[in-house]
Amino acid sequence: MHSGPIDSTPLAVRDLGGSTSLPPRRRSKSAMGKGALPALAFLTPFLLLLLVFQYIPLAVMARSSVLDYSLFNPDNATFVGADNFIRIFTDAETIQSLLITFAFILGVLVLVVPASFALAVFLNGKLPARALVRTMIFLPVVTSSVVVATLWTFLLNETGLINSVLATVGIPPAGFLTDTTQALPAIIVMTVWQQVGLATVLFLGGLQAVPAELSEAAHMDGAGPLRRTLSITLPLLSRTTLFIVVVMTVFALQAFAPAYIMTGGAPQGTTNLIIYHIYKTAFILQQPGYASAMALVVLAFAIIISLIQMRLLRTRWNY
Amino acid sequence: MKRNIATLSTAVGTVAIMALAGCSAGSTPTIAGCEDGVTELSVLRAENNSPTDEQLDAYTAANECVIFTVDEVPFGNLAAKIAVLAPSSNPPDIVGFDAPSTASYASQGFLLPLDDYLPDGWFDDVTSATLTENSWDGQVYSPGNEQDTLSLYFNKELTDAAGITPPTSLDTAWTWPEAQAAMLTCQVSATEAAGSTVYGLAPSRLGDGTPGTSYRDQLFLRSMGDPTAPESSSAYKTFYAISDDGTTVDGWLNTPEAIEGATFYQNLFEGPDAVTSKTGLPNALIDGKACFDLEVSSNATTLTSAGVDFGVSPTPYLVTPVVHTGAVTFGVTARSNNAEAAATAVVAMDTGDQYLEWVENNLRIPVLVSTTEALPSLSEAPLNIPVEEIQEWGVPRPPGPHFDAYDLYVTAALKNIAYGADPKTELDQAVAKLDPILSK
Repeated sequence: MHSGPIDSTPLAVRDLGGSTSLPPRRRSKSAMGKGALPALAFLTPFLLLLLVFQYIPLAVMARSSVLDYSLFNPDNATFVGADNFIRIFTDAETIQSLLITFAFILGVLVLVVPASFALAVFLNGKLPARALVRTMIFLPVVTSSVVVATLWTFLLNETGLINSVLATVGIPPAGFLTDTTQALPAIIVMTVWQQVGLATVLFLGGLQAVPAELSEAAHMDGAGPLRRTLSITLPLLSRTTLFIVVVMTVFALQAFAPAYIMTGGAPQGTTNLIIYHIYKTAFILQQPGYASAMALVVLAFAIIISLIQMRLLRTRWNY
Repeated sequence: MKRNIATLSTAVGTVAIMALAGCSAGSTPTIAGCEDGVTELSVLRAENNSPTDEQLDAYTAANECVIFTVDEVPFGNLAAKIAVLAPSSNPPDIVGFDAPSTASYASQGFLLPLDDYLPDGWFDDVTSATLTENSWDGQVYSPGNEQDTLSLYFNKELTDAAGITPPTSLDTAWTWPEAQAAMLTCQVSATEAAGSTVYGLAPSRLGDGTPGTSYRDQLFLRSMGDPTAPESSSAYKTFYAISDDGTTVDGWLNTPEAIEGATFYQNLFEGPDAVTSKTGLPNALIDGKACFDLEVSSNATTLTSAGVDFGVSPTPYLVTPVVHTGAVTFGVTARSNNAEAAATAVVAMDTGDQYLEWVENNLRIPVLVSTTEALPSLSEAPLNIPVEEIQEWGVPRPPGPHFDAYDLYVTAALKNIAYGADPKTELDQAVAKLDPILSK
């Protein structure tokens, strides 16, 4: 990637006019002070809502995570220290749920990123009815997860549309939602179908921002389409890719509807995604303290995974 | 500067007003003739469940100074909603809930005991299954609104075509092997006639619409037991499926008999004699996609409305005939601000003339013997079968303060068994998860 006639491209790109090359505009202290108060005034309602509905509940959850109590009797809570956190890593059901969730995230990422990139390249070309195709791809993104899960349940059922089609060519019905080897892949495919539109639009935006002259220069230097994609397009889309990977990871980590609506965590816990597991623990098993501890661990995982991804996928080029 | 402060004040003021508006209680309406004011009772219920609008309106018609505000959620979300509202400063006055959860809610102080509000003679009139389900620690927490159980409904057009005549009395009820053979015969016959799959037994519509719901499928395990066997015997423990003190299921849920019942249950879904589907198929009996269906008594009304020619047969059994009782009921929250009025209303809706009228109008199975005797329709088809089943075979689902956890893990085990997992492994795992919770 760093050899050949286009090696100097990143430097040239950096010089094409990124904001980093502009000298910072100096502002007087009084001018900043003048703008601060109205800014604060406009931000205050949002900050208050953020405080009330995000940070205070987070603090309450952190407090709950060291307590043992039931939702019916919060006043009878007992302090258990780190017991709830220790239990997370000794409880076979929770460990299985975490592993299943990581497999789910990996499956979604492995399919969404290349599929959405391919779709974006396709849509970036001169296609008839491009807007229509783009709308079709994006439509599942704005459809309720509950609707999507219900729709796919009917598709994947033993008597569903897909098995009916398979039956017409003599293939026996598959247990998409009931077989331990097929249920997780099935909900991964459904999630990919729902999320690929968002990633495609993001990649498309990135593709359209890549300066055409770079590709043209490489073309004149003899680079083929694959070489141009690997050496120019993909490196320049690293910020977009990073954003998509992080967003998809968080979406997948938060997935609830597939387990709740399609499988109930079955068969044998192979679709028992962690958020659904937390929900059951808090509201059915009446162990909100343990559920809070799991939620905190999931939050920590989300932050750690995102940081690792940002580190691994950090961009080296600007344009 | 003044302008900035004004802007800031406006923004903060707006938020404060919005917050106050959101938190303030609505005003209670006034009604002419109610000198002492109007009592407004808040109700939380599951959609399409009791207390229904008809019941609430009838009570308001008789007590015009009491009105109701209703909040309803899907049945599947009811327990979670109750759990969230329970510790709030303003819980609903009247709450609908699944009767087997009574012990759980009562033991945690969520429900108000209603013994003091029940009319004279109520304890002699109520069915024993209802009294057991709706009581905890010697006190009654709901008078009970209706009883219900499963029966085997069949599409007469399909069974007649297959030459099958299902039994229509309890003393001639099929065993499960007999029922399975009939279902298989009908399945083959109807599938050939239709040119597409018709199931012998309709996929379950209960619970989340997939197999495993303990209300229906745990019967395969319990039916392998024997309540008349010695208390120390495996057969006795299999029938009751939880220890007498409710603290363990080890040796009760995973007995050899229960495993044998679970293995039979699995054969309904897998293998050459499979007669049903592992995934849901709504309205299968109505649409002619199934010959038989294990359903609750309200199914009779649904089938009648849909114009289906149907019959009702007793629930098949393996060793001991058994059906689970229990239905949605309603009670009063212990922290209600209107406990007296709410308790009076609940008892009035579940007893006396108002109750008789509601049962008659809605073809429900009553919880009171006197009401059952007053309604001849309950001794005629299609309701005579479920009524007799409740009276002769009915037992509550294994009661206890941890019913929700019990239901969760037993349902999960049965679902996995239906999907092909090893019955012994699944029941042992359910025991391993449940025992620490039950012994708490």
